[in-house]
Amino acid sequence: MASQTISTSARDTAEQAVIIRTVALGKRYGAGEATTHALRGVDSVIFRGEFLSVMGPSGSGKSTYFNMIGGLDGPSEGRILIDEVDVAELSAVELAFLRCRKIGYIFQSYNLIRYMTALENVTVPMAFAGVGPEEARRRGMALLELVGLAERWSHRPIEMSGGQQQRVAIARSLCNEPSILLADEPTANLDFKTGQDVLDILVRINRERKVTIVCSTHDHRLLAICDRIMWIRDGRVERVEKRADISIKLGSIGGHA
Amino acid sequence: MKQIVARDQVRLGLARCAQLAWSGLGHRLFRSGVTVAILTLAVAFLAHMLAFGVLEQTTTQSAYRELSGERALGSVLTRASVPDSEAIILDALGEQPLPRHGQEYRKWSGRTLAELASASKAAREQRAFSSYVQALPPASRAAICGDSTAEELLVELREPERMRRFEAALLEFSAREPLAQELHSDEPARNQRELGLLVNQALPAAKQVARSIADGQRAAISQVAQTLGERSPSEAARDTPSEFRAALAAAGFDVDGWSSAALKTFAERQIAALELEKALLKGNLRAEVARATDLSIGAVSSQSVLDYVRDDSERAKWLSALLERAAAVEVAPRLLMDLAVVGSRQRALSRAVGDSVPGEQYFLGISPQSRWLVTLSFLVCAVGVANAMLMSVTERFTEIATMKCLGALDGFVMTMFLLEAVIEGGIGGAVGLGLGALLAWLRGLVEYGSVLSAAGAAGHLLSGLGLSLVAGMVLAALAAVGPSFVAARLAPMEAMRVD
Repeated sequence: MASQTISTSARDTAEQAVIIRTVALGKRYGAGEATTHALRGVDSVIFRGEFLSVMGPSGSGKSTYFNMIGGLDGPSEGRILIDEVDVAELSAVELAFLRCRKIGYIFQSYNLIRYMTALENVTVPMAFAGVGPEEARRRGMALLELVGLAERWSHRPIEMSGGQQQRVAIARSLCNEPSILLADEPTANLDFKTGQDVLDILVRINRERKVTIVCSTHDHRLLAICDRIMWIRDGRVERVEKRADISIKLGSIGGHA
Repeated sequence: MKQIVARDQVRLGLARCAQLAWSGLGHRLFRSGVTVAILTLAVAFLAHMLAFGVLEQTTTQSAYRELSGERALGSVLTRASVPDSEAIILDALGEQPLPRHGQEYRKWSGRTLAELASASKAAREQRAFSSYVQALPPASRAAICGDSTAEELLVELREPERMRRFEAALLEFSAREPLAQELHSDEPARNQRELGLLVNQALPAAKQVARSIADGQRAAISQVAQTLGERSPSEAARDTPSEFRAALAAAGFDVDGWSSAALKTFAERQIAALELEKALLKGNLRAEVARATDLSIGAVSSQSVLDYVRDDSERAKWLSALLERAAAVEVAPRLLMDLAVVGSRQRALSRAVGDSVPGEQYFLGISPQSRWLVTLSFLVCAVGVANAMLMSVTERFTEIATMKCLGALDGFVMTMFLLEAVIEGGIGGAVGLGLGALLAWLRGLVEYGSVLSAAGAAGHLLSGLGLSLVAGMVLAALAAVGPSFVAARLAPMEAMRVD
């Protein structure tokens, strides 16, 4: 089943390097009678440089899967390999290093630090990475430029719209040049237009910077953008589709493609 | 291909942590304000206790010094007119160290230092013997001493027969009475010999010395008296202070500490006080004073009258005129006012000295009784700070978790919260310190008024206040350990939670 999934979803030649692989990944919460199985043996691969959407209804285990490939939560069974390194074997300090430099996180509710300006928010992870204040400032401004908010660097989150806040969050997630960007329902709290802006930026980052993006979402616009879609249901991977396989179908329905 | 290699995350320096904590504090003014306020109160309380304790001590000491200076001046005038009795002299010789006028005794006795020293030793032994006897239960004391006082007993014991009876009684009582036992000691032979020496040689010799001192003092008094003529020493000190001072010095009195001007002022006041006292004995004068001052006749005293004229020159003039008219006593209004001021200051000084046990030293001025109060207040404050910090942590779950997603180490989160608490402790401490010092000063003013003195206490005050600042910071840090730990252990996954 697993090998079949990989082979059907594999892209062409050089781009087939795997960046995240899960093997028989399972997660239980509680014990005894009350045990709930959030994930039941998930085998999956995520390729370097691809844009993957993870879709599924609430309670499907999508969030659990998402947290575990981000190194935020440990599995009950099975393994998570990021660049063939087993996350379970990393120490707390190494995990912090991983979260700081290799993975960028984008949250549904932005999670900007509310008493800091846009620029300060962007530079926080750089401080954790030991980048000097001057260098951090320079890089932070460049990233704000990238998301189109250079003008508003001194604004606090409360003075910005949701879309702007999310763009600052994207700038923050990129500041230590991560290989992987994990976006947890990035457009769920945004209206159509601003959500589109955020998606455009994500696509641009994926295409121009070759950053792997994993995006958990309910937003069907992503179907048109991403390379592959992983459907999760009842703690299992239901199916994995390539965009090419569904774009025609979608095009006939929504007209976005 | 860019490989992910797991390495150790950078640990941030303390300065960078402090900088981040400070910038965070600046943006949560209200919340941190509560913590700061709690800390301010605790530190203010401690600082107030410490500072007031120090002020209390310095005030007592300076009041004691001032009072004893005044008293010594008075006692010179007394000693210059009335000779001390031999018993008083012997008692003074037994004091250790020798009182101020011990120097005068030395001059008058004409004895060598060694003789004086052995007299002093005998006097001390007599004192010790007296206090032993005083401490005995009445029944035992009556059996051992008969009707005699300890001093008389020491004279009686020179008779061998009395000494034998005394020894026998001691032996009998030493079985029951620990004190008699102590007096008798385990080595009766040695103790008996020492008692014999004291009774038969040392004490009589000491009494000889005391007698020679008394003789010397009488000679000195008559020497001074020749310069006095018909006047009393006080009058001489008032009218011709420098001559009188010179005569005192020539006769061997110790006047080193006082200028003739001080002597004059003191004598003036003493005479005026005496005259006023005497005048107030007259019934008609008392009645008139009572009418004018709205006091009952019984409440009229020199003190109440002086309080009436204090700070009021019109009233002083009135009293002066009244004294002249009704008692033929001449006292200048200015002198009456002086007397009133000096009298009330001396009362304040006595009150200040009487308030505390002189010489008792507390740790940095905190009495043992108030120590538990300080401890309790700090415990309450610690709970308050812990609670405020815990709320601050709970409120910021998402923020902390996000920071951990962004690469913050547990240690960094812990350090940041601790530093935040320490900074709050420092601010609260600084404010509380000023508040506490102010409070202590005000309380001192209320309790001691003009007598309040902080002379020579700068070091103690500074260390006390410094201590309260440090205590505030340490307290804040200790109270924050728990909440900081909670924050540090927070799972980064919490950041994903949507509320």
